[in-house]
Amino acid sequence: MNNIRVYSLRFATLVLLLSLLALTWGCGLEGSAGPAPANPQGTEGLVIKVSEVDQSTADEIVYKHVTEYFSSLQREGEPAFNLVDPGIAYENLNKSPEQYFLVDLRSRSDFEVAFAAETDLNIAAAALAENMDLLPKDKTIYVGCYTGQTAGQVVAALRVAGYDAYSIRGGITNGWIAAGLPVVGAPANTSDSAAGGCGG
Amino acid sequence: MKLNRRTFLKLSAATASMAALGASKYRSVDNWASANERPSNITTAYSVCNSCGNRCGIMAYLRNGRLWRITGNPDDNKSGGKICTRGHGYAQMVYDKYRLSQPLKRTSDGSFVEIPWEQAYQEIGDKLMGVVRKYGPQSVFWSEYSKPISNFYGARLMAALGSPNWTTHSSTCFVGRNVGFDYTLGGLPSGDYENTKYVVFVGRSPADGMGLNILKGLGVAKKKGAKVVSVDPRLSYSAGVLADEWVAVKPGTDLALLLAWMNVLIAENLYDKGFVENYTVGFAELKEMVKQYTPEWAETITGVKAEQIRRIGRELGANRPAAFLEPGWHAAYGSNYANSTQTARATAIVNGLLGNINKPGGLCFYNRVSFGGLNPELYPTPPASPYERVDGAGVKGKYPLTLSTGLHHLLPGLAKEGKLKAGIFYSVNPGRTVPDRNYVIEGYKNLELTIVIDWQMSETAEQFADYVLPESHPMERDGIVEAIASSRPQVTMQAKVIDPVHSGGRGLDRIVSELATAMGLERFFNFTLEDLNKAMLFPLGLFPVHLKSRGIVDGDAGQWHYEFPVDGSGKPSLRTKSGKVEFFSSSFAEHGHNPLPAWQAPKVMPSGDKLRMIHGHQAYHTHAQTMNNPYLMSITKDYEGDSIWLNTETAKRLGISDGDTVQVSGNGWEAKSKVKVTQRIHPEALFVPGGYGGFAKSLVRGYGIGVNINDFLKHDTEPISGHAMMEEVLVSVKRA
Ligand code: SF4
Repeated sequence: MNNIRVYSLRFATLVLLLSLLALTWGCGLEGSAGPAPANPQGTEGLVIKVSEVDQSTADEIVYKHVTEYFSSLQREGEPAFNLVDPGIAYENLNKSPEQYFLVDLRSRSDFEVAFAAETDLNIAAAALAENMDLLPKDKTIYVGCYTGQTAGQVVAALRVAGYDAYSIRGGITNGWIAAGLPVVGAPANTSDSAAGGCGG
Repeated sequence: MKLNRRTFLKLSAATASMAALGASKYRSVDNWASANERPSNITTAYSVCNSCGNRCGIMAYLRNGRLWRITGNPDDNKSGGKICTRGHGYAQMVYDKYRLSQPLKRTSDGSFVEIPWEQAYQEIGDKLMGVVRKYGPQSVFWSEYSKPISNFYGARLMAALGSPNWTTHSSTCFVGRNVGFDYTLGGLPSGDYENTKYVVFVGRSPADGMGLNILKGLGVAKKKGAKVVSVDPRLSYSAGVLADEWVAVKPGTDLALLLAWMNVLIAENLYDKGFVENYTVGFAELKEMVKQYTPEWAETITGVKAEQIRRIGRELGANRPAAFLEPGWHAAYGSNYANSTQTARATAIVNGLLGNINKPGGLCFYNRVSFGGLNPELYPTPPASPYERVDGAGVKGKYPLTLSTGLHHLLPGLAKEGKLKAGIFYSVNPGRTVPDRNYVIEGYKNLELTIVIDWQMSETAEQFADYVLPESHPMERDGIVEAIASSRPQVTMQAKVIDPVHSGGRGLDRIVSELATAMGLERFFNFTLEDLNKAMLFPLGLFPVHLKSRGIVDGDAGQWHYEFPVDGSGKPSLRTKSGKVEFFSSSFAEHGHNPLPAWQAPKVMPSGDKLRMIHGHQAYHTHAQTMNNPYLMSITKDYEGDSIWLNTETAKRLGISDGDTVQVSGNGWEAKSKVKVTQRIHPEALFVPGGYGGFAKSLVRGYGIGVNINDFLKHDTEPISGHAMMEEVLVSVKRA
């Protein structure tokens, strides 16, 4: 019982936080992921030991992470509200590809029309719950969508979860593409899988 | 990425185990609270084993960043989550002291000196372009032990230079089998091992040559009562462990046995009439031809009793279509005998008579994964070379029917003739693995420029390389995405597991791209390996991160069905000329070869005390590549794995006892070896385990251990598929 309450509290805080962020940044255009699901998938995977974590500890932990999150929104010498200028994202992704990871949240069909060649993952925000294992903990994650709306919410959640994530200002469509940064279309040619070498 | 239940369970399990290992400090409130108290020194990573062409999925465990151990990836449909001894031994070579760490250049006194990469690229680039300008791009070749990364980068580099000469090791391995199957069944099917009732291996030994999927499948089938027959001059470890019956065929005469089975199936009406009518061509001609090939006739050629031949033929017919002749690899029809290509055709034809194509328990052409490719508008594709291949592969009047992977054992002779002037050898060691040591070394010494790319020295590097470029170990770098073939094809990739042990080594993608840049060909290499992998995965909706995080994911091939392949209008669509099984091959006829696989004797036959030398894999070595591996060589030592095998009766006649040291002579070569005397080999054969007989001084652990069949062979070429005929050799043996 206790563990459910611990989790619920943490989750309620996150939902509240996301709602606030949505109000702050709300630009409500296409591609918005909508509110986070009320009963997220994957909670079965969480390991919560009742004996070790009581209610007050959980409250403290969540409070600490949320305050840390808010204080991270405006840091000297860094982009405000965990936003990154598309030009800087482009530069970093090309200069140090091993340190940066670009996530495009747009739909597959829109992605295929024009996308940044640097994209490391094209995934709908709603599918992230089942695919968190794909997001690297040791890289800076840039997140883009159509306008920045969905990406902003995703970045907020990722940062609470401990990821070093930034939203691309204006998203991929209204930011990256509008800034004239390079995009490509689907590769034209396909080939069958080649047989490998000598079996055994 | 769609998540099915299996993937989800896997993710949940991964989450739990990651949490248990403390690798993911933010996954739970519990972890948040105690992250600092946990040891987090064990991590896991997915990759692919590089020790042989099976390329099994692996999971690597690291302790404090150091490779600790590997296990099979349980998601791998082909390996079934198992790996073999060699995989373990190979992985640990990342820390071996004999690994190469800097580019080497041969000096005027024949020794090597280390040079910086930039100097190596500049000098090699200048010399290679000099050869191209002086003699034309067709004078340059690439030679490799076939791997996905070099299939792409080697072929592209040759195309960028304008050379048609990209070659793999196929002519000393499997080319006869592929040509035989291509012109009969339109390709190489897989056995539906798990569901079969009856399977015959013609020469192949999956417990020695390693077919983990085969072993796994047969384990299941045998529990359901399946029968396994091994046709082999040697009672191999596969035959010992798996087979219900050993057919001790006289080496090189398998074709006669196959013709007799055709005779029995047709004469006794045991073949699949409906299948033959609808899906084959040339039955009438075949029927007429095989009338003469009775089991009694085959007994005189093969030494196998007529009644045993007849009984097996009947059992095959009774169990069809869940019965098949396994497509094999090297032994009976890969590249060993003058009759090998036709023997491969005959094997495919028996399967056609059994009507087992795409039937449960038969032979299946599974769906393939449709990978994408680089967008040519962004990454210009080098134009195809306007020149004919120098080795004659695919060239009219030479070897028009053979594979585009070329005939690498012909290259030394072509170098001697002055037709080839420069070559790059990638992860291949013709100095040891191609027949006729002197022909190979003397031929290749005529090249004006020889470059070896490998992570260790080799006979090739020592004997005739001008430059040796050190490749990093596969554990230290990403590879190219690849498919795992099965009824449910999967996608995987070799991924970097540890930070480089030697900073000097580089991946092949980088070596080729940087060398191309030094030659002014950077326009054809203006992409990274990551770009290439992304382009290949694009149609599947996947990214490299899927494979790095999950190891193996499902491809796009969808559900496979047991149905004969047909096109949109319902017409048979095997990849043969007719779309059907071709008992009669008009392509063979067109190029002057017998359109039917009539009996043809091997080139040489044992008589008196002359024995045929045969060779084969051991489960703990991969050709000559593992001869300096301390773990695998210790198995050789413990089990005297370098001993040659001699039949008990033959040994008695020659006054030889088990454990003696004997002298073997043939074709002007002599060598000494310990001998294992056993009933498990045909009296007319002498078995030599593959890979031994190392003569590279820098490979100290394998130097001088055992003998190698290639030293007893003379350079030769079979006329249809162009293979090297690697068991057409007679030797005599006496106590040393
Ligand atoms: S069969 Fe053995 S050596 Fe070959 S890839 Fe698999 S584990 Fe590696």
